Amino acid sequence: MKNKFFLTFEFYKKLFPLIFIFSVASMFFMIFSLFVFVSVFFSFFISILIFEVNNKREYIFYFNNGITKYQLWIISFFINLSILLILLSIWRVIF
Amino acid sequence: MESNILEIDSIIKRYDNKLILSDIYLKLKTGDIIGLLGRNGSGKSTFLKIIFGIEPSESKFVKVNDKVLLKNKDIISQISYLDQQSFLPKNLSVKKVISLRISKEKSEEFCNDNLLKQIYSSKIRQLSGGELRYLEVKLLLYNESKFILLDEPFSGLSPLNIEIISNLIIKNSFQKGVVLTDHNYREIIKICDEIYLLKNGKNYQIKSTNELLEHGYIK
Repeated sequence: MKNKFFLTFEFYKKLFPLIFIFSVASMFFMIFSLFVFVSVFFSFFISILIFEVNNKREYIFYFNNGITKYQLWIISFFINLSILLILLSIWRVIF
Repeated sequence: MESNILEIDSIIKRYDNKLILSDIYLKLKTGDIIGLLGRNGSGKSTFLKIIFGIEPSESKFVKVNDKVLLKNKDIISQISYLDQQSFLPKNLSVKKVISLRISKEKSEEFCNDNLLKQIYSSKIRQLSGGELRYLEVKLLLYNESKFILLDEPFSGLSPLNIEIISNLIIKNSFQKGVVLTDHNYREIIKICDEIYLLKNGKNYQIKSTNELLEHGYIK
Protein backbone atom coordinates (compact mmCIF):
# COMPACT_ATOMS: atom_id res chain seq x y z
CA MET A 1 0.00 0.00 0.00
CA LYS A 2 2.82 2.35 1.00
CA ASN A 3 4.69 1.42 -2.15
CA LYS A 4 1.59 2.02 -4.27
CA PHE A 5 1.37 5.56 -2.89
CA PHE A 6 5.02 6.28 -3.71
CA LEU A 7 4.56 4.83 -7.19
CA THR A 8 1.49 6.99 -7.77
CA PHE A 9 3.41 10.00 -6.46
CA GLU A 10 6.05 9.35 -9.15
CA PHE A 11 3.21 9.37 -11.70
CA TYR A 12 1.88 12.64 -10.24
CA LYS A 13 5.36 14.21 -10.43
CA LYS A 14 5.19 13.77 -14.19
CA LEU A 15 1.88 15.63 -14.32
CA PHE A 16 2.95 18.41 -11.96
CA PRO A 17 4.98 20.73 -14.28
CA LEU A 18 2.00 21.26 -16.56
CA ILE A 19 -0.42 21.65 -13.64
CA PHE A 20 1.94 24.26 -12.17
CA ILE A 21 2.27 26.21 -15.43
CA PHE A 22 -1.50 26.34 -16.01
CA SER A 23 -2.17 27.27 -12.39
CA VAL A 24 0.36 30.11 -12.37
CA ALA A 25 -0.97 31.36 -15.71
CA SER A 26 -4.53 31.42 -14.33
CA MET A 27 -3.37 33.60 -11.40
CA PHE A 28 -2.86 36.53 -13.78
CA PHE A 29 -6.64 36.82 -14.21
CA MET A 30 -6.91 37.54 -10.43
CA ILE A 31 -10.12 35.48 -10.17
CA PHE A 32 -9.95 33.06 -7.25
CA SER A 33 -12.61 30.63 -8.51
CA LEU A 34 -10.90 30.46 -11.91
CA PHE A 35 -7.57 29.69 -10.24
CA VAL A 36 -9.15 26.86 -8.21
CA PHE A 37 -10.95 25.44 -11.25
CA VAL A 38 -7.80 25.51 -13.38
CA SER A 39 -5.56 24.07 -10.61
CA VAL A 40 -7.89 21.27 -9.55
CA PHE A 41 -9.66 20.24 -12.73
CA PHE A 42 -8.55 21.81 -16.00
CA SER A 43 -4.77 21.50 -15.69
CA PHE A 44 -5.11 18.05 -14.15
CA PHE A 45 -7.18 16.67 -17.00
CA ILE A 46 -5.02 18.33 -19.66
CA SER A 47 -1.87 16.82 -18.12
CA ILE A 48 -3.53 13.37 -17.99
CA LEU A 49 -4.50 13.77 -21.64
CA ILE A 50 -0.93 14.70 -22.60
CA PHE A 51 0.44 11.75 -20.61
CA GLU A 52 -2.01 9.48 -22.48
CA VAL A 53 -0.64 10.70 -25.79
CA ASN A 54 3.09 10.91 -25.00
CA ASN A 55 3.76 8.31 -22.32
CA LYS A 56 1.03 5.71 -22.74
CA ARG A 57 3.51 2.83 -22.56
CA GLU A 58 4.62 3.90 -19.07
CA TYR A 59 1.24 2.78 -17.73
CA ILE A 60 2.57 -0.80 -18.07
CA PHE A 61 5.14 0.02 -15.37
CA TYR A 62 2.29 0.85 -12.97
CA PHE A 63 0.13 -2.10 -14.10
CA ASN A 64 3.07 -4.39 -13.35
CA ASN A 65 3.00 -2.99 -9.83
CA GLY A 66 -0.70 -3.81 -9.47
CA ILE A 67 -1.97 -0.24 -9.96
CA THR A 68 -4.75 0.34 -12.50
CA LYS A 69 -5.09 3.46 -14.61
CA TYR A 70 -8.16 4.61 -12.66
CA GLN A 71 -6.36 4.15 -9.33
CA LEU A 72 -3.49 6.27 -10.66
CA TRP A 73 -5.83 9.02 -11.81
CA ILE A 74 -7.95 9.08 -8.65
CA ILE A 75 -5.02 9.05 -6.21
CA SER A 76 -3.18 11.67 -8.28
CA PHE A 77 -6.30 13.85 -8.29
CA PHE A 78 -6.41 13.76 -4.50
CA ILE A 79 -2.66 14.41 -4.21
CA ASN A 80 -3.18 17.46 -6.44
CA LEU A 81 -6.16 18.62 -4.39
CA SER A 82 -4.22 18.15 -1.13
CA ILE A 83 -1.26 20.17 -2.42
CA LEU A 84 -3.59 23.00 -3.45
CA LEU A 85 -5.34 22.99 -0.05
CA ILE A 86 -1.99 23.07 1.78
CA LEU A 87 -0.77 25.96 -0.39
CA LEU A 88 -4.03 27.89 0.14
CA SER A 89 -3.78 27.36 3.92
CA ILE A 90 -0.21 28.67 3.93
CA TRP A 91 -1.34 31.63 1.79
CA ARG A 92 -4.09 32.49 4.32
CA VAL A 93 -1.71 32.26 7.27
CA ILE A 94 0.85 34.54 5.62
CA PHE A 95 -1.56 37.10 4.15
CA MET B 1 6.46 -23.94 -2.67
CA GLU B 2 3.07 -22.59 -3.77
CA SER B 3 1.89 -23.97 -7.09
CA ASN B 4 -0.56 -22.02 -9.22
CA ILE B 5 -2.35 -22.74 -12.47
CA LEU B 6 -3.13 -20.18 -15.15
CA GLU B 7 -5.70 -21.06 -17.81
CA ILE B 8 -6.42 -18.87 -20.76
CA ASP B 9 -9.48 -19.82 -22.75
CA SER B 10 -11.78 -18.70 -25.57
CA ILE B 11 -9.67 -15.81 -26.75
CA ILE B 12 -11.16 -14.40 -29.92
CA LYS B 13 -9.84 -11.31 -31.68
CA ARG B 14 -10.66 -9.72 -35.03
CA TYR B 15 -9.13 -6.75 -36.82
CA ASP B 16 -11.44 -5.35 -39.50
CA ASN B 17 -13.37 -8.63 -39.74
CA LYS B 18 -10.14 -10.62 -40.13
CA LEU B 19 -9.90 -13.32 -37.48
CA ILE B 20 -6.51 -12.97 -35.74
CA LEU B 21 -7.08 -15.28 -32.76
CA SER B 22 -9.72 -17.96 -32.81
CA ASP B 23 -10.67 -19.70 -29.58
CA ILE B 24 -7.13 -19.97 -28.21
CA TYR B 25 -6.54 -22.10 -25.12
CA LEU B 26 -3.38 -22.26 -23.03
CA LYS B 27 -2.65 -23.73 -19.63
CA LEU B 28 0.47 -23.38 -17.51
CA LYS B 29 1.51 -23.87 -13.93
CA THR B 30 4.21 -22.55 -11.64
CA GLY B 31 7.62 -23.60 -12.99
CA ASP B 32 6.47 -23.91 -16.62
CA ILE B 33 8.14 -21.95 -19.40
CA ILE B 34 5.90 -21.90 -22.45
CA GLY B 35 7.12 -20.53 -25.76
CA LEU B 36 4.87 -19.02 -28.41
CA LEU B 37 6.18 -18.90 -31.95
CA GLY B 38 4.55 -17.43 -35.02
CA ARG B 39 5.23 -15.33 -38.06
CA ASN B 40 4.96 -11.54 -37.99
CA GLY B 41 1.32 -10.58 -37.61
CA SER B 42 0.26 -14.00 -36.36
CA GLY B 43 -1.11 -12.44 -33.17
CA LYS B 44 1.51 -13.38 -30.56
CA SER B 45 1.81 -9.90 -29.06
CA THR B 46 -1.93 -9.31 -29.32
CA PHE B 47 -2.51 -12.58 -27.46
CA LEU B 48 -0.28 -11.51 -24.55
CA LYS B 49 -1.81 -8.01 -24.47
CA ILE B 50 -5.32 -9.47 -24.34
CA ILE B 51 -4.38 -11.71 -21.40
CA PHE B 52 -2.87 -8.73 -19.55
CA GLY B 53 -5.96 -6.61 -20.30
CA ILE B 54 -4.41 -3.82 -22.36
CA GLU B 55 -5.98 -4.96 -25.63
CA PRO B 56 -9.73 -5.54 -26.00
CA SER B 57 -11.06 -8.82 -27.39
CA GLU B 58 -14.41 -10.30 -28.38
CA SER B 59 -14.07 -12.98 -25.77
CA LYS B 60 -11.58 -14.04 -23.12
CA PHE B 61 -11.37 -16.10 -19.98
CA VAL B 62 -8.38 -15.79 -17.71
CA LYS B 63 -8.44 -18.18 -14.77
CA VAL B 64 -5.94 -18.50 -11.93
CA ASN B 65 -6.44 -21.54 -9.71
CA ASP B 66 -9.93 -22.05 -11.20
CA LYS B 67 -11.02 -18.51 -10.34
CA VAL B 68 -12.05 -16.43 -13.36
CA LEU B 69 -10.40 -13.01 -13.30
CA LEU B 70 -12.90 -10.53 -14.67
CA LYS B 71 -11.47 -7.22 -13.58
CA ASN B 72 -8.19 -5.74 -14.75
CA LYS B 73 -7.08 -5.08 -11.19
CA ASP B 74 -7.38 -8.81 -10.43
CA ILE B 75 -5.40 -9.73 -13.55
CA ILE B 76 -2.54 -7.28 -12.93
CA SER B 77 -2.23 -8.40 -9.32
CA GLN B 78 -1.38 -11.95 -10.51
CA ILE B 79 0.19 -11.48 -13.93
CA SER B 80 3.06 -9.23 -15.10
CA TYR B 81 3.82 -8.28 -18.68
CA LEU B 82 6.93 -7.30 -20.60
CA ASP B 83 6.05 -5.15 -23.58
CA GLN B 84 8.04 -5.29 -26.82
CA GLN B 85 9.16 -1.74 -26.17
CA SER B 86 10.55 -0.27 -22.98
CA PHE B 87 7.96 0.84 -20.44
CA LEU B 88 10.08 2.10 -17.52
CA PRO B 89 9.67 5.84 -16.84
CA LYS B 90 12.70 7.48 -18.43
CA ASN B 91 12.98 10.22 -15.83
CA LEU B 92 13.59 7.77 -12.98
CA SER B 93 16.95 6.33 -11.97
CA VAL B 94 17.66 2.59 -11.89
CA LYS B 95 18.09 2.87 -8.12
CA LYS B 96 14.66 4.50 -7.76
CA VAL B 97 12.93 1.93 -9.98
CA ILE B 98 14.47 -0.91 -7.96
CA SER B 99 13.48 0.69 -4.64
CA LEU B 100 9.90 1.14 -5.88
CA ARG B 101 9.50 -2.39 -7.19
CA ILE B 102 11.68 -4.71 -5.14
CA SER B 103 11.15 -5.31 -1.44
CA LYS B 104 13.97 -4.41 0.94
CA GLU B 105 14.54 -8.09 1.78
CA LYS B 106 15.06 -9.02 -1.88
CA SER B 107 16.89 -5.83 -2.85
CA GLU B 108 20.40 -6.99 -1.90
CA GLU B 109 20.02 -10.26 -3.79
CA PHE B 110 18.49 -8.42 -6.75
CA CYS B 111 21.36 -5.94 -7.08
CA ASN B 112 24.05 -8.53 -6.56
CA ASP B 113 25.14 -8.83 -10.18
CA ASN B 114 27.83 -7.07 -12.18
CA LEU B 115 25.58 -5.51 -14.81
CA LEU B 116 23.21 -3.97 -12.28
CA LYS B 117 26.10 -2.67 -10.19
CA GLN B 118 27.38 -0.82 -13.27
CA ILE B 119 24.07 0.85 -14.09
CA TYR B 120 22.73 1.30 -10.56
CA SER B 121 23.19 5.09 -10.45
CA SER B 122 22.18 5.75 -14.06
CA LYS B 123 18.91 7.19 -15.28
CA ILE B 124 16.66 4.88 -17.30
CA ARG B 125 17.10 7.14 -20.35
CA GLN B 126 20.88 6.60 -20.22
CA LEU B 127 20.69 2.80 -20.52
CA SER B 128 21.42 0.89 -23.71
CA GLY B 129 18.75 -1.37 -25.21
CA GLY B 130 20.41 -4.49 -23.77
CA GLU B 131 20.78 -3.03 -20.27
CA LEU B 132 17.18 -1.85 -20.29
CA ARG B 133 15.85 -5.23 -21.45
CA TYR B 134 17.91 -7.02 -18.79
CA LEU B 135 16.62 -4.69 -16.05
CA GLU B 136 13.00 -5.02 -17.17
CA VAL B 137 13.11 -8.82 -17.36
CA LYS B 138 14.83 -9.09 -13.98
CA LEU B 139 12.32 -6.72 -12.36
CA LEU B 140 9.45 -8.87 -13.61
CA LEU B 141 11.09 -12.11 -12.52
CA TYR B 142 11.61 -10.77 -9.00
CA ASN B 143 8.18 -9.24 -8.45
CA GLU B 144 5.32 -10.83 -6.54
CA SER B 145 3.16 -11.88 -9.50
CA LYS B 146 2.43 -15.56 -10.09
CA PHE B 147 2.81 -15.49 -13.87
CA ILE B 148 4.75 -13.41 -16.36
CA LEU B 149 4.22 -12.75 -20.04
CA LEU B 150 7.38 -11.82 -21.94
CA ASP B 151 6.95 -10.32 -25.39
CA GLU B 152 10.23 -10.59 -27.31
CA PRO B 153 12.62 -10.52 -24.35
CA PHE B 154 15.59 -11.20 -26.68
CA SER B 155 14.73 -8.51 -29.21
CA GLY B 156 17.74 -6.44 -30.23
CA LEU B 157 20.12 -8.17 -27.83
CA SER B 158 23.64 -9.43 -28.41
CA PRO B 159 24.21 -13.23 -28.11
CA LEU B 160 25.88 -12.70 -24.73
CA ASN B 161 22.90 -10.72 -23.38
CA ILE B 162 20.49 -13.32 -24.79
CA GLU B 163 22.32 -16.00 -22.83
CA ILE B 164 22.29 -13.90 -19.65
CA ILE B 165 18.53 -13.26 -19.96
CA SER B 166 17.80 -16.92 -20.80
CA ASN B 167 19.66 -18.03 -17.69
CA LEU B 168 17.81 -15.43 -15.64
CA ILE B 169 14.45 -16.74 -16.89
CA ILE B 170 15.38 -20.37 -16.17
CA LYS B 171 16.82 -19.52 -12.75
CA ASN B 172 13.73 -17.62 -11.60
CA SER B 173 10.99 -19.61 -13.32
CA PHE B 174 10.71 -22.17 -10.52
CA GLN B 175 8.50 -19.76 -8.59
CA LYS B 176 6.46 -18.45 -11.53
CA GLY B 177 4.85 -19.58 -14.73
CA VAL B 178 6.33 -17.92 -17.81
CA VAL B 179 4.89 -17.40 -21.30
CA LEU B 180 7.30 -15.95 -23.82
CA THR B 181 7.28 -15.08 -27.48
CA ASP B 182 10.25 -14.29 -29.65
CA HIS B 183 11.45 -14.69 -33.21
CA ASN B 184 14.64 -16.29 -31.90
CA TYR B 185 13.13 -19.79 -32.10
CA ARG B 186 16.40 -21.57 -31.28
CA GLU B 187 16.57 -19.83 -27.91
CA ILE B 188 12.85 -20.51 -27.32
CA ILE B 189 13.34 -24.22 -28.07
CA LYS B 190 16.36 -24.27 -25.74
CA ILE B 191 14.66 -22.84 -22.66
CA CYS B 192 10.96 -23.73 -22.99
CA ASP B 193 9.18 -26.81 -21.61
CA GLU B 194 6.35 -26.54 -24.14
CA ILE B 195 6.16 -24.76 -27.46
CA TYR B 196 3.12 -23.59 -29.41
CA LEU B 197 2.92 -22.15 -32.88
CA LEU B 198 0.32 -19.50 -33.63
CA LYS B 199 -0.89 -19.90 -37.19
CA ASN B 200 -4.12 -18.78 -38.87
CA GLY B 201 -5.52 -17.78 -35.51
CA LYS B 202 -5.02 -21.18 -33.88
CA ASN B 203 -2.29 -22.53 -31.61
CA TYR B 204 -0.59 -25.81 -32.43
CA GLN B 205 1.60 -27.65 -29.96
CA ILE B 206 5.06 -28.25 -31.38
CA LYS B 207 6.98 -31.36 -30.33
CA SER B 208 9.96 -31.17 -32.68
CA THR B 209 11.75 -28.78 -35.02
CA ASN B 210 10.42 -30.85 -37.96
CA GLU B 211 6.90 -29.73 -37.07
CA LEU B 212 8.01 -26.11 -37.45
CA LEU B 213 9.13 -27.07 -40.97
CA GLU B 214 5.82 -28.79 -41.71
CA HIS B 215 3.92 -25.70 -40.60
CA GLY B 216 6.11 -23.52 -42.81
CA TYR B 217 7.50 -21.50 -39.91
CA ILE B 218 11.08 -22.30 -40.89
CA LYS B 219 12.67 -23.53 -44.13
